[in-house]
Amino acid sequence: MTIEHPSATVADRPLLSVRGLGKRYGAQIGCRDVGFDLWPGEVLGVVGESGSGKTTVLDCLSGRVAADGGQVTYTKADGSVVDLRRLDEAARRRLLRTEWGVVHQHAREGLRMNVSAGANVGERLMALGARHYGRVRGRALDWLARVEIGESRIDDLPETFSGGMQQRLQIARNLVTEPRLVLMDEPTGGLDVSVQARLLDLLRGLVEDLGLSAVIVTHDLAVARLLAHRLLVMRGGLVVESGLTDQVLDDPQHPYAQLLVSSVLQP
Amino acid sequence: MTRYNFAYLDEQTKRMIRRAVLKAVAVPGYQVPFGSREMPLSYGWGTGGVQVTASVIGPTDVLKVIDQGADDTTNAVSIRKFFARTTGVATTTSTEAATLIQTRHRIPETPLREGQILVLQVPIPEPLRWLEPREAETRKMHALEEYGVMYVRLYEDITRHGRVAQTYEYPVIVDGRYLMRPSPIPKFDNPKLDRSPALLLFGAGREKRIYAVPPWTRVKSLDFDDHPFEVEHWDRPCDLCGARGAFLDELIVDDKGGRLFICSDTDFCARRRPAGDPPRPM
Amino acid sequence: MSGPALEVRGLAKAFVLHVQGGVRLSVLDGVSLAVQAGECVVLADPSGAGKSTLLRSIYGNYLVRDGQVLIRHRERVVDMVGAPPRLMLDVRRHTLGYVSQFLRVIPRVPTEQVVAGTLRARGVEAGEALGRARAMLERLRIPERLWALSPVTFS
Repeated sequence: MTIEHPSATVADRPLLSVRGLGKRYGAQIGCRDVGFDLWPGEVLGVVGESGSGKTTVLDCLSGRVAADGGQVTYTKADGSVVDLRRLDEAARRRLLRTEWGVVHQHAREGLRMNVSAGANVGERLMALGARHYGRVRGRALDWLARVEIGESRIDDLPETFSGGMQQRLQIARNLVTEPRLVLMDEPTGGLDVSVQARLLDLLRGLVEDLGLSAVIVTHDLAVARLLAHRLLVMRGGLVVESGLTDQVLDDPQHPYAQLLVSSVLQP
Repeated sequence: MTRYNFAYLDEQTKRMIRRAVLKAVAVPGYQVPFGSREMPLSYGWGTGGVQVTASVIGPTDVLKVIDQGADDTTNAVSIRKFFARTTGVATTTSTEAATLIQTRHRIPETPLREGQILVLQVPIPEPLRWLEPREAETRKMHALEEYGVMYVRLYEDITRHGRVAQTYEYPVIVDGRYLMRPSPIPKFDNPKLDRSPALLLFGAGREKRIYAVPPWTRVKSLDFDDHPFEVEHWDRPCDLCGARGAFLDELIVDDKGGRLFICSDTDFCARRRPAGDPPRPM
Repeated sequence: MSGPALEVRGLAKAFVLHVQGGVRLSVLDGVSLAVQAGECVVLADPSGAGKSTLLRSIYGNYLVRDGQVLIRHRERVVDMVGAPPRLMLDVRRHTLGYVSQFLRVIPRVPTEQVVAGTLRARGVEAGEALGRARAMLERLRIPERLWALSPVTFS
């Protein structure tokens, strides 16, 4: 009887592979020696406190900042593998508009506040060559319904939306091109608790329905437990622990991870 | 009395502008930065157009200058006099007789022919400026052909007004590549840009940009498949010359709401009327 | 294919509580057991002896470094100890289930969706998953009027 750890049971390569990712801000370490694999349909949570480097990791992945070192490889929908750090800007920007999505903590950073909700959702489609007004509007309506924004709001400006609605609109704007990978930075940050809950339910549902892969940065362990399959715990720019979400939260090994978990208040 | 160099500008400046013009012609619709000089008229009054004209005008040219289609407005007259004085070149009000036409806000009704140059005055050259204030970002968008945002503008118009509300300075795609702002001509004139036999030059003095559409280049006005581009129509002819299918200006002639609709292109209108006939109110 | 469905060999589990001065708690030491297909094994011991720890260690909820947890999964035998997270997730999705004393539940999700969710995670289409979930609820004699309510209201 052989005992094995087959390295893959379904797809045969990771969607995203990160090795030795590092970024310094002068003498300050943003993140150092970060590595992980992300497989299709998987959600990876990156948790830590302020200054842990979790947002730096996300910014390096999205290209918002240039990493100093490391390798980030991504498997595109057509099966080809690209090294993100060597990609030219045109290709990177195209990737961000098609196969990737980025959901910012503050919806204002990810939306056009001075055009209607429908235009916000339809923009990526038009950027990719959609030239039929009726059909673009139809897809926008579709997606607004999926993020539980009422049809009647399609022509309203995002400024008139509540924080939670703006966040849902940002999600719709990103998901309309059916990306394979979504990067999220504190998606529920700053929202009221009940609004957070609704948003989390929505995200869980969308991740399941669309088979999305996601990297979610959060300081909130409850969000991580709800959304992520796996966790990275970061501190001082380093990954101190990684593993299945429930294992890291229920049986943390590293002293800092234990401290983090035990610090969470239970209502 | 001071003697000016031919066409006011020194030869080095003219060379610099001609280089910019050549570059613009080589990449249709692309905005070429140039070292815009101080001219004896304020920014916003056609300094870009004047610099382009000054750089391409030669002693054998015949110059026509129009403003809103008319040869006899103050600005058109001033600019024409300026060139007459600094070049000694022949001037005309006839579109057909001109070799070089500088214009603000209109393209002549009389079809242009090969060998003619039309210089258009441009206030804001960047079509994406309304949505993206950063120059660095708009340059990238042009380089990467990221024009989705322009369609967002059209989408919003259709959403709010049922149709694209932009009636002048209507954005176009030149030679299937660059998004261009065709200066504040009415959209009525956009079709004249498409495959024109003439060379079209655009000068923005304050913003320091020159761009061009070479002869016979495809110029397509942006639209949606289910909301195609349309020009303005009038349901009446010109009250002076009877032309149909020309761009008409509306004139209020009395306190009782009396109006006249007459061709904005004065040369075009005058040629159609019997010689010596003065304009008459209705 | 013969052999137990689940076999635990020499499992040891200890906790080091760094937050409390690094005190070491040894809970399991050299536990072995085998479960055959179709067999039901009962762990009976006074509270505090480590029953829950054993279950959680098998499931991977607690990290195990010493011993082996061998599971028959997709025609092979897999050792959960040291398995890559992706493999453990696959085992949990297809082979190994966990029923706990305290059901940790999201207060807003209806019971039938909670049950159907595990099938959807395996790629079963939503309508079919819901149908099978309802059939299972009926079999377990959970009243139909409760299916649309969150389990948080249950006893």
